[in-house]
Amino acid sequence: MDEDLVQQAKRGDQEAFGALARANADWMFAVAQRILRDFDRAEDAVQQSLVIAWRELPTLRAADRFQAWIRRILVRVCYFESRRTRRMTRNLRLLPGPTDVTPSEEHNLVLRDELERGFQRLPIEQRTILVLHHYLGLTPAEIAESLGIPAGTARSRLHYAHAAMRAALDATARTPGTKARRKAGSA
Amino acid sequence: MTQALNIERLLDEWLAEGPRIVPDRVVDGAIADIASVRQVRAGRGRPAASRFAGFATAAAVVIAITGALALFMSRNMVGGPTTVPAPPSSSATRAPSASPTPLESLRALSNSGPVALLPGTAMEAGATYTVSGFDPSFTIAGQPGWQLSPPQGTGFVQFQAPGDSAELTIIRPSQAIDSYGNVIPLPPKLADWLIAQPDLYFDRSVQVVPPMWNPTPVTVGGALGVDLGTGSIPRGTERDSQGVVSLLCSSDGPCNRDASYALRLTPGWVFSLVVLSVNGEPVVVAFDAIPDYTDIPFQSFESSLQFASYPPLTLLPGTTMEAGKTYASSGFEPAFTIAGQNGWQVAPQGGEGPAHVTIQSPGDHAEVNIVRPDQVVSDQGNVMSLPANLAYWLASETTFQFDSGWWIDHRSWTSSKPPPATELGGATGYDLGGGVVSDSATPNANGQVVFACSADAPCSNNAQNQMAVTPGRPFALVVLQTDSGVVIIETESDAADAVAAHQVFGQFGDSLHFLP
Repeated sequence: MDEDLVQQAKRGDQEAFGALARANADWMFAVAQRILRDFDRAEDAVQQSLVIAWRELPTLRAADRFQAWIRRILVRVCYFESRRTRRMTRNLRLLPGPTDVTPSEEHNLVLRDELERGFQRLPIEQRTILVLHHYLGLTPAEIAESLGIPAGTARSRLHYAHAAMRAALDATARTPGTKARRKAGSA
Repeated sequence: MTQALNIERLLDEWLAEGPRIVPDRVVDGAIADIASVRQVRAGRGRPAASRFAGFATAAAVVIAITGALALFMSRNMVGGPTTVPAPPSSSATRAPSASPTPLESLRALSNSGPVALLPGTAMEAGATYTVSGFDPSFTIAGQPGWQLSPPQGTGFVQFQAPGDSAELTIIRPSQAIDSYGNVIPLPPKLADWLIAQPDLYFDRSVQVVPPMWNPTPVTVGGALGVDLGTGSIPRGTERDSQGVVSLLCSSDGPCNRDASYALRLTPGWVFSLVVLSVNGEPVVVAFDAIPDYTDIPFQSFESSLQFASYPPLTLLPGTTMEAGKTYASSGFEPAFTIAGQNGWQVAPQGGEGPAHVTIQSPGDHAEVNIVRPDQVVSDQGNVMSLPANLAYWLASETTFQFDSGWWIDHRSWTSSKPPPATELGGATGYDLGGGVVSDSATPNANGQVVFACSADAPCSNNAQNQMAVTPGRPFALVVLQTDSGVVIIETESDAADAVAAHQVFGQFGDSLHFLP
């Protein structure tokens, strides 16, 4: 991260901020899309986060903390996005249609579907923890900093998020009706 | 341990899939936007990051204060812009009445009386309806064009929106239909059973495994219950000949996949479910609508629903509220009902008048102020007549430092870029979000900054019992246009940030209903 760009942007240089935005927007979008599971809302979250970052940038004291700082803004905006439009937009997923798939491919499809279902049922806070940890590779301490929570809380949330995902996958596996219907849909 | 490693590996691989490149137009749009957004000045007020940091802790504090969960944010920040609040009506400036009549506020439920709705008759906005024969009996506010849909029974009633784009079902179920189509006795833990139905894809923050599920307690119509939130059923999972999924039957008719007296949800639509306990029996309130349907009618139905078994109690200064009970304002115009929160009360001293109500939490750690203003006090302390567009005026006052985590730039609101529209208690208006009092604001001798006045007391920068914010206490603001004039709802709390202040509001916001 070019700290000079951050300093220039702090002083109101829009071109410098534009360069910062282009340098960070890809990972921000990837994170937002994984948390929100929705392309449109992820795009909105990135755009809104960048505008907030521009507006609040003069309050950032340490230029080298820019990435962690904007990550925190992004997470907060994702929280907001997930609540704001929960009812207005729905991601109705199509179950796999009839295709020629190998048993291994079918297993992968089913597994992805189970992961998706389990993940979408997690609270937004747990989804965020999982994305920060598994996608960005942040440690619980770094997650804690991103979310503004104690490190112990981050560890605890991560533990419960893993447990919830495991439970969701187990529950799906134990539900014969679900499997039967899914199989019928993919046969 | 092996299982733990597996789930981590699965998540690593699964989350690695997916998009990594943002479309150019997203960044281009942001860069275009910042050209019109002014940066904050460094060193003034708390940095945005620290305000965000307080969110989790603050939310926990507020929840601990009241023991209730917030729904407001999820339900009220939807919908497109509506009309700009009109200038205040003349009623907003009338003199306070000398002696408020406590039962005046109940007139919609008693004096005018509800209208018995007949099948095929369209509802009208502003009217209160009941459905003959349904047990437990209830009243509900009308939504324009909605109709009672046959059949109706003692345990089943259904309302349909114009064009059949949405349905509201109220059912006292006696049996259930499982995912295999089998009719089964009503599960004793009905909410848990519904959550566990594999066809129902809940998208609220609930988890599929019942022991881990954290239900959201609600009070609807005076009855306690749980809100299961919203969800959908994927297309292709139809269970009956009409392409819908039947879940619960009332005792009014036979129970099977094609039952007439049944809660039926349509695959591809979006549902909201609330499970209540009315007189010891379960009653389910379900809203099912096409995906693009706004949930404003459901909010209005839900906030206006009133079971006769739980008549509203009169909310008088000093009365301590209880969760699970509905309270009616005693002298405020427009009259309203609101669900109780344990230990909250109308401020004993000057807490209610014809144009203002202050409801405080135990220990006064948080409060909700509802005011019908007729004057405002500017940043400079000048008393002014009510601005034609109160929401914009409030947004432009430097007294308020709105939390940019919620709304990007309050001061850039224009008629073509209005603040978020909201609907609350049957009235429409603007949700200004939350914030903190600006460092530049000068508090009065009471340590507050008065910004709006009702006719209930003299107006000045030092006035008491007027609408004020307190430095150090985050606030949230909503401006509504009611039949009696513009109403401001302000909440504030000792919690650390504005999000928490808005959550205080949410504890009441869902249940607030202005009486016709």
